[in-house]
Amino acid sequence: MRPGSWLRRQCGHLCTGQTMTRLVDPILADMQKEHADAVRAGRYWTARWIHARGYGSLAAALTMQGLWRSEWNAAVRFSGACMLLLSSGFILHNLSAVSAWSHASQQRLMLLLVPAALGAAFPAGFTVLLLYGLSRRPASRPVAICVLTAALVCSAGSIAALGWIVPASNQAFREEAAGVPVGRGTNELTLPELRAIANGRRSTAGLVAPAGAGDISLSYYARIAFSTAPLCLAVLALALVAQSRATRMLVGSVVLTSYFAYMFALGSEAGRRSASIVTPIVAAWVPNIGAMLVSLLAITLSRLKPAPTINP
Amino acid sequence: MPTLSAKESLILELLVARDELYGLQLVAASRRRLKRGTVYVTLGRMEDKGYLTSRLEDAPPAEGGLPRRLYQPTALGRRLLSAWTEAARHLLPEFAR
Repeated sequence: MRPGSWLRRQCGHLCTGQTMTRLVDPILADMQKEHADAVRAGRYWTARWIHARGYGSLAAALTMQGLWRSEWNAAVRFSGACMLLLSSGFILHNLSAVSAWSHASQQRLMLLLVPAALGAAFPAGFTVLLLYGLSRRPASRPVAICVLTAALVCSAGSIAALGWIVPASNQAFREEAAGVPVGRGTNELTLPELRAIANGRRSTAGLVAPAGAGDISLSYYARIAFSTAPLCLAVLALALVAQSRATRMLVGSVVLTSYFAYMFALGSEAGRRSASIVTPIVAAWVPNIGAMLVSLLAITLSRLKPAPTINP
Repeated sequence: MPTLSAKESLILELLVARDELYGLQLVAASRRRLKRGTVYVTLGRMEDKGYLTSRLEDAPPAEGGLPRRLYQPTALGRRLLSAWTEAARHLLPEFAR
């Protein structure tokens, strides 16, 4: 089988005829030609490199092609602005909290807050990108597969970020602000550490302001729930795709605002007390379940809507 | 009013000079100013604008792979490049080649 044949078949399911003719086929043809030349010359490692580079070139070309569509171009800028706004708000809020007493460099503190700010702003930016960029027509199966795959990858990335990277940067921020080594709090524990404490396999000794087992469990489940936000919100974006952009953005804004308000409240003492009436896993998953219910409602309503009639 | 970006202008210059080229030949001739990943996006956009046309190579490759695509400038592309170069020479003599 020629290199790129499998990829060409997959692209055939996802891309339009014009994209196949103008982008996919020429790039794969170049790759096959160069690959065959390298194999004929006995340069097998070069052939492997050409194979990998061909896949990279195709990915770059398809990304560029997608971004050049004016709707996506505007969507990327709009969602980027939303992420920047949210991240800046998060960073300024946290900086102002320590600037009164900390003598640490503001630039360094700001840099240490970036992972947490991006981790918080990313689900919102991703959702806005989808809500704005998807055209007003029912999502075809390939589009839905692409969106859900991208959301799955983003969720996996979020788990890694919120589970390991953000706790480390939070702790570095606290130590930088204090100027001395300080103990870790719940937000500075990694996911495995939170799970070990929640399951009673590890004590809370050494933690600053040790929380109860319920609070630790809530923190553990909330972090997992928030990591899966891109996936849940992508489902919402797909459910709303047939609506006008104004409706999509309005519903999306309401859901996103409620989502973030709930997660923000869950981080406060009062919020945790209120959430203790249900089990931690339920309390943590309420916003995701809410987003899925809104998606289900949107799908049901769009199916109830009568199909447009064609006037003679 | 048709316009030319720097990449489009470079592609047209190369095509006008050699009449017909493959995408990879354009990348090689551009001395790394064009990237193999994105050159086809630009070529497709230029085809949409009518600056160039493309065709599949005559004989399929002996190895049996996909046929490659050849690009050549249209009359509009040639005229536009000529006008663009002339305008650049008048407006920005210090940058004209």
